[in-house]
Amino acid sequence: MNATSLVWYALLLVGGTVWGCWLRQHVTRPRDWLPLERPLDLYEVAYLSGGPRRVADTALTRLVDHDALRVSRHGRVHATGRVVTDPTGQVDAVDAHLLALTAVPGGVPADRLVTCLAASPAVDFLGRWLVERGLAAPPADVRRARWLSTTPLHGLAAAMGLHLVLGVGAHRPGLAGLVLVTELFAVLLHQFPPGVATPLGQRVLHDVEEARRTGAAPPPQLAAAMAGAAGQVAVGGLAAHPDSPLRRALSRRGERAWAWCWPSSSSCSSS
Amino acid sequence: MVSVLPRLGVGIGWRPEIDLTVERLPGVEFVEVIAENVRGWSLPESLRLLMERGIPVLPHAVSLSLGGADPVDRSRVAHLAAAADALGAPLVSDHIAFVRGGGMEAGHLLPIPRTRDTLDVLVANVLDAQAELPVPLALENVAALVEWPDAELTEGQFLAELVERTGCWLLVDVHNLYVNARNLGHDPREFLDTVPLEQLAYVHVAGGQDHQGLYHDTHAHPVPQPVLELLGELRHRVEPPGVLLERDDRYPADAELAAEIASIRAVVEPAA
Amino acid sequence: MSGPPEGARERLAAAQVALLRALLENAEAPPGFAPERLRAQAEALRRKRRRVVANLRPELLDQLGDRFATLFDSYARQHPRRTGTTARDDADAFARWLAHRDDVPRSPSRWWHRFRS
Repeated sequence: MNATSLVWYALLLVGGTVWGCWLRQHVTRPRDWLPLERPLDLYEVAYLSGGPRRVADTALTRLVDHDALRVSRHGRVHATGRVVTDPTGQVDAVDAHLLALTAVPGGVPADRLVTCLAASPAVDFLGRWLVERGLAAPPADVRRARWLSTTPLHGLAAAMGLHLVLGVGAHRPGLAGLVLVTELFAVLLHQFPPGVATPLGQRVLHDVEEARRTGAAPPPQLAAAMAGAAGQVAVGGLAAHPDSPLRRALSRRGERAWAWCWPSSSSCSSS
Repeated sequence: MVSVLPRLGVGIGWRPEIDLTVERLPGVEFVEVIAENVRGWSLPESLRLLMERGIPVLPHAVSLSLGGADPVDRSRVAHLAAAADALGAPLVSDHIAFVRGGGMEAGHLLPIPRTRDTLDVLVANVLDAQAELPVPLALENVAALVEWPDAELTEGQFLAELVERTGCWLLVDVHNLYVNARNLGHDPREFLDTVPLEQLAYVHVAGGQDHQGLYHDTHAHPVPQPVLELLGELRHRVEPPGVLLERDDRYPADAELAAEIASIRAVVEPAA
Repeated sequence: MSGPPEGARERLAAAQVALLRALLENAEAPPGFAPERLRAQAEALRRKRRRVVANLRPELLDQLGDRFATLFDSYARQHPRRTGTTARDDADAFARWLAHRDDVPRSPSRWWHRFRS
């Protein structure tokens, strides 16, 4: 590998990264929207902050907080038989779905619950509502952007890998190192999910955050919800959970290789 | 028996599903863990935490089959002894029951015939087990749906003689007394009057459910009022060193478990 | 140590094995037992065993739905748990028994890829 190839490599690497960043930015571009007819609720804030999985983390945290679910140190979740209702006596669709998912004998690993709930119609519906109001990017676009944003880097690594296999004998260790570094970089980039909120969504989120900080939250229901652990998880992810044993329990990876949602006849089997 | 057991207070059965709950429930003074699930070299973090706080953790065995016809399985006794060592437990327990025979495993504690013959076998098995255990052994009365024919002794007499001949301690399960009263017509008061309550190690309290005309010892339902009343009857006769709530399935919300513990405490520590 | 009197263990063993056979293998009720109580106890034992298996292999319960209990009970009657086997062995043996009867798919792959995100 000579200096020219190195320059080409550097150019392609920078180009691929710029492309990836642009794509991730572009997916949350402003879109047509319907007026927002009511303040956001906790799960909508969670969705705008971190997408479907954040909603699931938040719901799990909230129901554990309300004694409707129990998590063990091993991250196994069981229902306690309690149901959480809003002041009008209604059960939130996301909560209802989460409770249904936990009705498995022996409990369910928390990470599987999050995966199943994030893909549930309840969270999907919530996401679509936000998309229609121009607050969030369509989930399919976000997923696509996440994959496409790293494609050039994977391509670069593959091309160099091919070069390594077919190419001349010199500089092999250096080339192998570059292949590794490039691929690692691509994988790392993939680990960070793209943002979900559009500029309008970010503004709404900012208002919520501002209201929370100043204590002047206009919708009292949201203020109450945001005050607890679930509010912190909604905004900051599981890492922001204030209770460390619970945080560790909820972030534990399941011990089973296969994933399957209960009951299989419902939602998850179709995806 | 000269050994004196510690005062245990009010406790709850530790299960992996409710580990965080047990750690955080107010008023838990001791816990019990299924001995067969304890591996000394890898104690669950939750149990280590409880031990660090000075909460006694008692291994409760379910598989010695001391009332079985076969001599006790030394490896099972050794496991119980190792569990007691690992947990630093002041005593261990199992049941007056059999769980296997003829190569078959019942998967549950079955009652034994209350005959002199059986008592002799049981006493021999208990003495064998005690010889291998580093701490006192307490034995628990079980719940039954079937009654052996030709009983020569009442349950109370059977246990009284067992204690006399082996020096074992008693783990009185008041829910099992209630179950046997309901299903077999046993008299729990006669039981409490007959067994040597000065050898009482602690008490189990649990809940069950009616199913097709019988009352089942499920450990999956709330403690019924008559069981708390039986606990009160026992409390009239002796101050139990400890009372433990057993819950093994369909775990309710933390608040409900806390309420059950509080109602147990109200019975055994009325003045407090 | 003075053991139990001559023959006590044998007499007890015979009585306990007869009871276990009646409870676990549907054998004839030993004399002196109320048959309906034996049935209730046998059912309670199977229910407990079934619950343990359902906890270990919830996907079987999910696949079989309402048939789970009936199928498990007929498996349990033919295969009492042997001493030395674990609950997990029991659950796996039930899964094999089901697969052998073609009640559930032999390969787990059908539900394995049902959900991947």
